Amino acid sequence: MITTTNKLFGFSVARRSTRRILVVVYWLCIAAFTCAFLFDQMRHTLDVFGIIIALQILTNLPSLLGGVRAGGVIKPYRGVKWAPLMDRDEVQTVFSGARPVIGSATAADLALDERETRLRDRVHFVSYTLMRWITLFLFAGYALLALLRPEWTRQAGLFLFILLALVLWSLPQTLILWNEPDMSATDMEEPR
Amino acid sequence: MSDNGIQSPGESGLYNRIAVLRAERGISRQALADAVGVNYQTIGFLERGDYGPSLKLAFQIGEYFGLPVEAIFSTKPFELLSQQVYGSRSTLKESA
Repeated sequence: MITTTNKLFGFSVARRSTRRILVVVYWLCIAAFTCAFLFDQMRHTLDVFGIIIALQILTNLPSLLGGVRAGGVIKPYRGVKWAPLMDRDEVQTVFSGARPVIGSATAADLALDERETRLRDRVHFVSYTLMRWITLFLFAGYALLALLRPEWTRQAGLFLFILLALVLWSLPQTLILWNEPDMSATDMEEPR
Repeated sequence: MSDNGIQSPGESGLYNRIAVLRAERGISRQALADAVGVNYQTIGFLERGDYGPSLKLAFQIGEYFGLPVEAIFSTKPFELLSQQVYGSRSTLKESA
């Protein structure tokens, strides 16, 4: 499930410890974004600039973990033909419209075998199960806010929607990166 | 079977002889992976017992090596090859 090149910005992700550091850094980025967005929205009213920034983060941050197109740390989740974004491009990009900067696509990265397909489906089910609880807690938080501070509900609604989308788009990749075992030396060897 | 030769069923609960068969025939993981249509990393998972193959993949591996599935995969530890080849002589030497 981990890309055969095992690299992200030149760093090897073959070891699980490295991947876990990446996951922690990624979620710290989301936490920082959350704090910055909340701080900004508390000081100002909702503006177009803030929405554009939020959308850019929403569409690009999950790209760091891969899973959508080849070239990311995780191979693309192929086989879901009805998903409109799946077949648009072959290679993962960090910023929309830019050239691929994470990695290059190899033939091995474009196909999932039965183990990888099974793993992909399992982590998506686990993510779905977790999302049920996360959604419930976010709704409870929003409802509480609406009761206590109704003037904040417009900003909070947008913020919660973006946060929910970020978690939803990142959770399966996070589970894979966190749990996949170390690639052994022979796993990492160049195909002969 | 794990890479160091010690039998372990791994997470799958299946013992296998893929690493031994591959070594004795000089076949790389990539060659086996190409032959059965999986990623070469998956062969590593199979050899370590971290992944239990589908029935189709198990039969494909059996066909590739020209062996029945039960000669490659088992729910019980395999008898050591030395014991299979040399029988009681091998056991006597070990116990001596």
